[in-house]
Amino acid sequence: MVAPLKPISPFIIPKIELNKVGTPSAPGASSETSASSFADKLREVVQNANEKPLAGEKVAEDYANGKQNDLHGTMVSMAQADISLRLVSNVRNKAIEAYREIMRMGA
Amino acid sequence: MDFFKAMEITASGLNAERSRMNALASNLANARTTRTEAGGPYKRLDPVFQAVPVASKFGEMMNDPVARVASTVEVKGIQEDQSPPQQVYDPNHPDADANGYVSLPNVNVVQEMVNMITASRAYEAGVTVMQTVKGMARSALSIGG
Repeated sequence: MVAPLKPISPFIIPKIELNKVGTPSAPGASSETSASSFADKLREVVQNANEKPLAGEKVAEDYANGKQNDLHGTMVSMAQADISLRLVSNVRNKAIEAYREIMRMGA
Repeated sequence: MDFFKAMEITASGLNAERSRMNALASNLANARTTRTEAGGPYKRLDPVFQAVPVASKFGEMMNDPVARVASTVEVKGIQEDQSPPQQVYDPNHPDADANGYVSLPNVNVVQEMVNMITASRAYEAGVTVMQTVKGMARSALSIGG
């Protein structure tokens, strides 16, 4: 049996408010400035990136341990993990790119 | 209905074909078994499949007509073929009856081979669907660049 797979939670694409662009927080800076800062969104996206691959890893591990012997179920989970990771890494790349573009505005 | 749903549905199809293959393997392995726990010759096994609607969120069902009707397949059980056993004349067989006839399982090896081809092709079809879905998801991702 294939374990019921949860759909990936829809992640929020970073919304940049124009009037806040003047003081962008650096990635990794504390989120004290505003509840939905750019860095927070980025962190959220990267955290989401971890979920599916971790699930895929768990399934692969279970298969290797002999806890379950569902060959195609394992492969499906791994394919899903792969797609999720690609999606989230694409979003991350875009977000980083946008951030850099904004940082370059001042120069 | 996201791509993952299509994958879930296909995975259920792969499961179904796998159990069909298991039943088939059992039938072929026992094609000449004359003794079973229940007594009498082995009886051919056939899995019974049932369509189970895909669990979807209410909003999703309202928006997507496919989500309302799409179904996964589940193996609901396994059925014994009740057709009569083959009677073969072999007086030296330990399970031969008074007239020298042995009741052999109602397994037709040729028929099982044909079923095996069907199961194998159906599994392949499922894998192809899976690969196509994966390819679609990947090409969708390439839009973002």
